[in-house]
Amino acid sequence: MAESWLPWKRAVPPDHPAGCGDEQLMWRVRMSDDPQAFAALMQRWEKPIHSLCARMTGDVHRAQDLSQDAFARLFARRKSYEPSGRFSTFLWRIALNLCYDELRRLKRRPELPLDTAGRANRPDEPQDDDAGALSSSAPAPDAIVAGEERAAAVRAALGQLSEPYRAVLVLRHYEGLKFREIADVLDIPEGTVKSRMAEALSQLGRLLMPALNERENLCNETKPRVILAI
Amino acid sequence: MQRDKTPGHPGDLDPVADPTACTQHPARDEWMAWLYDELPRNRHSELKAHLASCPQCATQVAAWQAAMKELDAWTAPAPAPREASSEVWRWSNGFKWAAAAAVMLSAGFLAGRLNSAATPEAVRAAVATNVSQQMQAARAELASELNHTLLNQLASLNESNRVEVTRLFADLASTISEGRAADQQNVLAALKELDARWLGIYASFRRELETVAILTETELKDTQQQLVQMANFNDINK
Repeated sequence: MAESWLPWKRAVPPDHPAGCGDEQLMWRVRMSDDPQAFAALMQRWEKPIHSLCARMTGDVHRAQDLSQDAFARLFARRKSYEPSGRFSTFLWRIALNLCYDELRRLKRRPELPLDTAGRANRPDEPQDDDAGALSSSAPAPDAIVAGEERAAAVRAALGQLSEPYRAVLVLRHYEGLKFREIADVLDIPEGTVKSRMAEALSQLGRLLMPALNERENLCNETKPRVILAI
Repeated sequence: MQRDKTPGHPGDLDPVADPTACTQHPARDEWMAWLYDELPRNRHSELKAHLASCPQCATQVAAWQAAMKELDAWTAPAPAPREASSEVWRWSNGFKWAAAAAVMLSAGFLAGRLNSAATPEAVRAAVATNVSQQMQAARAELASELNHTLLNQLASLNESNRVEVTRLFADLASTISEGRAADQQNVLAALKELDARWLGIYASFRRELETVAILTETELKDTQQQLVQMANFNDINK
């Protein structure tokens, strides 16, 4: 569909760096250290990279730092970017390597997060005070608690997967990369990516099986009581 | 833990456990592509048909799908509200609100002026006329400003495109010239190295040749002396 000619209906003006492709913007950053192009890349990729780091580390605050580090490293390595390759592959690789480094560092010197049970350590929740939670359309408290428990179980299970499996699973399931793209990012054959994905899903299913069974039992137990209460 | 991924083994299942089951199970790789909708349409249909007829594969795929569903329980962090990045957008929005506010203020002012002296119908008619005039004026002004803005945008777009293309060409030219200069330097260095090598070979060859010449001369002198001695010896014997 053609873009609207009305200025206020146009999301991004065509002369703005945000109207260019990633590779073109990165080329401008590489050749002339263009700050606008870099800002546009950051705006475009900040959320996916933050999401990747949060999924890989399971910690939203650490993910914030890691995503900033990823962009800092991207700028530091701008000269090594090859225009023939995809920018996304370049950036995913940088972010993943940072996540690997961080996970290894944590393995050597494990830290206990101060707010393990608090809201702030949950990547699935907005950090600002959410006024929408008070509205009538917000889910019921028990549903919120159940959702949080499920999310925590998934996060814990993901944390138990080894890094190669976790990386493939996060990139495919959460970040939506194709298997071919993941193979490019990880520099491994596509078949290996798919095998790792299958193994990751199998392991995850085994890890989550107790929680699934427990929830099913809980549902079966609570149903009659709900009916009686009504 | 790496598992067998050859066809005939549906992932985590043991094919020996069910002797009645089919033996040609699709590989796990294919099931992954099927689950994430990355297979060609015909192969996708084949796997779907296999799934309907093979309980082993159906169980395995259901387990994978359950795991995938659980993964969805951990939702992504909420996106930050997007800021309007376009100056034009901000400006035009502000202009619209300013025009609307001006219309409403003037209508209110006029209504207040007429309210004390005229009937409600007259006030309504006067307000309607006034509002209509104001709206037309605001619309005309907005259209004029809009045209002006669009023309400016178009001009700046052309200019920025031209500058960008020129800059890219300049970058390309500098890259090519840098590459060419580097090539020339490499060829020059190679030629110098070749020259030095040839000089070395020539010097060594010359030394060897001189050595041979000196040795030959010495040998010739020795031979000459021996011939003279042999001649003297013959003369003595006679």
